[in-house]
Amino acid sequence: MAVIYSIDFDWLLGFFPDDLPFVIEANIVMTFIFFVFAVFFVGFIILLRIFKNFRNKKKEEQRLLLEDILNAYLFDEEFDKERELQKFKDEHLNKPLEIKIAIKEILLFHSNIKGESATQLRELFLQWELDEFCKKQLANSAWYSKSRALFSLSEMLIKVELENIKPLLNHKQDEVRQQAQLYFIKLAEDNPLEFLDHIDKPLTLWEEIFIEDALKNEYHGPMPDYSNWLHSVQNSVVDFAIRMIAKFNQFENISELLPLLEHSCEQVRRETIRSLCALEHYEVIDTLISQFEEETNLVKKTILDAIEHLGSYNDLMMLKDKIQDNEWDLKIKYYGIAQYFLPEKKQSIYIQYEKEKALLL
Amino acid sequence: MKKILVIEDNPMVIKSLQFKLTKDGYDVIIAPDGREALKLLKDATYDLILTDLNLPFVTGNELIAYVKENLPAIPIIVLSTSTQENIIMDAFNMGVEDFITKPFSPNELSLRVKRLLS
Repeated sequence: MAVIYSIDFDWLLGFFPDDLPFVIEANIVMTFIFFVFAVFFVGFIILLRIFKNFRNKKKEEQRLLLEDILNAYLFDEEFDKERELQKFKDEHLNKPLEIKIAIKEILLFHSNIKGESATQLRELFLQWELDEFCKKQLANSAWYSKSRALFSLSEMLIKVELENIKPLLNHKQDEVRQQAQLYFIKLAEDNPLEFLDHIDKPLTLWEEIFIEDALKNEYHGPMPDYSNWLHSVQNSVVDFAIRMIAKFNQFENISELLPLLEHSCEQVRRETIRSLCALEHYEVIDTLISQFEEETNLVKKTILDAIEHLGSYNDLMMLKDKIQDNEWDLKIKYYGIAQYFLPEKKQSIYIQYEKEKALLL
Repeated sequence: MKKILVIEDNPMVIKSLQFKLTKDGYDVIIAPDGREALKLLKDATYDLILTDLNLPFVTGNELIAYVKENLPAIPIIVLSTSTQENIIMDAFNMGVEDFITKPFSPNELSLRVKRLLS
């Protein structure tokens, strides 16, 4: 600090009268520094603002130009496609910003238009070599560029070497992983979930929802056999496959599901019970009753739910002695289900529950 | 020249519809919201209305009800992202002549407009 003082501010101190106290001099110097800093700071913000406004203006100009040329390309029969499109490419698609706006605008048109016009937009995407730009973005850019590039390529159904996409399935950023998964699903011809064999990270719940939605709305091939992933090393993948077996009514996979009732992962066992319930596999009830005592609290709750769904009052009664005195949450659930089975005895079941509670307390 | 009132709030769709329908030989008037559309309907007559359902200020359904009550001769085509059966059924029950879901095919739209105006 002393060095800075002697180097930078000696000239400034020369302006002060000799008898001015040091504190006042220091105050004046600090005020001066603060003032200079404030001027620079405000100036910097103004410059940023000017740059942003300029950029937005350029974007808007480019967007309007694109709207015009895209409308002419799609709807004007007298439009000289060959010449005009090449001219536009040479004049307006040179900088990355211009290319990005072009991609965005084509995708916007593509999301609102279908049929022959949508095919024409894809042809234009290729003709302007926007796919090449996206492929470059996949290789050497920030995560948001990778994510956007994946989205653009999947929307326009442009095939890329899968070896270039596979590493992105395990990218640290959720958005990139999600877009890579979507890419696989949208471009798959017969195996949309092939990517599940290549993931190292557990699927998040959000990803599972996203995959399910994409399978229903974006994939048009035959539905995959989810039993292929019941023995994946990723428990989240197993969990997802079990759920999908029920969602898509793959009754033929019930026999594959049954061994999973003894899986080491609690969540997998719970999901298996739920899926077998959804598939209305009544035969599972005996197995569940016999396994009840060895199970964890959460699985026991799921078994009780299964009995409510598939079983009978007699099945429920078989569990009565298997619920420990300290398992109050299970007891409450048990009596709740008993009331469901015997609504006419609702009151007496409640009294029985109260008696049991009084004895234990 | 037949006049078409397009009620739509998506600028990209507006521009495309305007371009396509003008090329097809129609006079296209744009209303970006339901309130503006009602104003235009009171001031002039139109041969066809092409409307979205999710509109600012006055909804598409309110607008359809107004037209069917006061200007029943004007045919209406709904252009909407809704694919739910009940929404489509409601629109037809209110008396719209056609319902097109987005994303739409411009050529198909053009043919449907032509059919209604012929």
